[in-house]
Amino acid sequence: MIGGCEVIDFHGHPGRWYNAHMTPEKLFPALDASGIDRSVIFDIWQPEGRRSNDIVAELVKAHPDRFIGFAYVSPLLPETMVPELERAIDGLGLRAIKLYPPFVCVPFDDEIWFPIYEFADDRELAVLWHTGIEPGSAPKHMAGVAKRFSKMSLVAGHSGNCPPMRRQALDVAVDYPNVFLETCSTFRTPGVIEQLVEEAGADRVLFGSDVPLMDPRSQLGKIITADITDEDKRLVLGGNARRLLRL
Amino acid sequence: MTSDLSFKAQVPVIDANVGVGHTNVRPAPIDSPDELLAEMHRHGVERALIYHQQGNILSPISANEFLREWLEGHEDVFIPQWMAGPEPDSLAQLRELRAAGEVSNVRFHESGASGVPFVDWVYCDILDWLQEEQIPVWISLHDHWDSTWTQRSNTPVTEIMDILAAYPDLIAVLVGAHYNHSHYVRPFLKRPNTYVDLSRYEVLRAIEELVDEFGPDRLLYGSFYPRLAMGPMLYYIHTLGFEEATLEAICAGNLLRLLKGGRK
Repeated sequence: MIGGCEVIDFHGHPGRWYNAHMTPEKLFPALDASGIDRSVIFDIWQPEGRRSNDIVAELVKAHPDRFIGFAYVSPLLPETMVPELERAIDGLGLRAIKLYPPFVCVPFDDEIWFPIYEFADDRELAVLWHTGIEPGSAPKHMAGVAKRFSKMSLVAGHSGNCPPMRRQALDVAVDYPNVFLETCSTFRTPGVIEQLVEEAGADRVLFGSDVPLMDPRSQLGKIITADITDEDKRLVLGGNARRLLRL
Repeated sequence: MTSDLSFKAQVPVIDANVGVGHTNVRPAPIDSPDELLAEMHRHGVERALIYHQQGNILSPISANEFLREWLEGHEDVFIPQWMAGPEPDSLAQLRELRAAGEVSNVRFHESGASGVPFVDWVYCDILDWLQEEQIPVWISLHDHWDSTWTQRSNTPVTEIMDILAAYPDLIAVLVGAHYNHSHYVRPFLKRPNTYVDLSRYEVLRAIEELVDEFGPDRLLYGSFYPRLAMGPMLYYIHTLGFEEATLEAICAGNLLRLLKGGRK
């Protein structure tokens, strides 16, 4: 808890990435030291989804008070997408979906992704996308999806990351009420949190870290040291995530 | 344990990595010493080591001239970080400043982004001088982002390591180590005269592991402002659970020791 607010990190990867490594033993002291209560986790490395989602579900089962699991599937193996989502969401109890276009190089609004969106829209789930300059990841492609699949929530991971893509993410968020902006980024540009809150509204911004590449405490510092109101910080740090994930 | 929605540093802080001035591709969010001081005050940063950003690619010599207007009247809060390049005029300028008692440290231009190989046969004159004078030099590891936000060439880490091996008494501060550099930071720190600016080093629990292995005396708090926000890394360092002496060393003590010519 920080300032009476439950803090939820909306972006985390279990296991190893480069020589970064996230295990409960490494993560929980960092969370405890800074007042972060829970972490969203997903594994994006297995295109069939099954192994990824089992890894995540196992961690959630072992630490239900600390982890919130998201399911992962990939259009690289299109026939597996919906069956695996049914298994992971309906069976394992994972709460939302993470998608990673740079591995596919196909933009969000290509029909190859639509079975996933139809699944999410039916259940009114959140879908977290990687957004940035990488192939397939430009946030402008969220607009058509947000309009067509209006019952699901779309979260722009990294909020586009660099300024030109952030501009696109903000424009889509302003135009569509079911679009949210998640904050983790290696850029840590001055004024970025203030910009997101001012233009999209504090109720549309979600704190995330990208742990273990980035320690949740440094990314938390972006929110804590931002020049926004305490009430806005509470929404960004956890209030919006609780509402979005129906916690 | 930090439990507040606001933050201010709890120990004296000198930011070891602050750029001033606009660049040709990216205006800075501040345009005057007073605006920089206001930003520092907001986070509890008392002093800052400042360089002019035009020295990275345009010209170290011009950048040092531009830096003057930021220093004037603010000598108590801003410590000059003079830019350096391989050209003879750059060394001549630095020698003159040194003779006037104004050089406690320098920062190399971005050799990779400037298309200049960071090799002994290009930089030998200035490296000889820096080593002989025992002047600490900041060297960028970080990736450079141009106006289109596509990545330009970094200075290859192999070139940096070769230089450090060839100049064993050179005191070097590596700037901007990122998660992509996390394989290199430990090998660099095995060299006793190397220090690391922490502005981008945020891999989960990696700073604690460096302190455990190398002690706290080789790490410097730097924000990399205005490329990066000034507050988040300072907040982060305050949440690492270090005893006060360690926190003080990273936030100011290690830098002060380096600038006074002392090594660990």
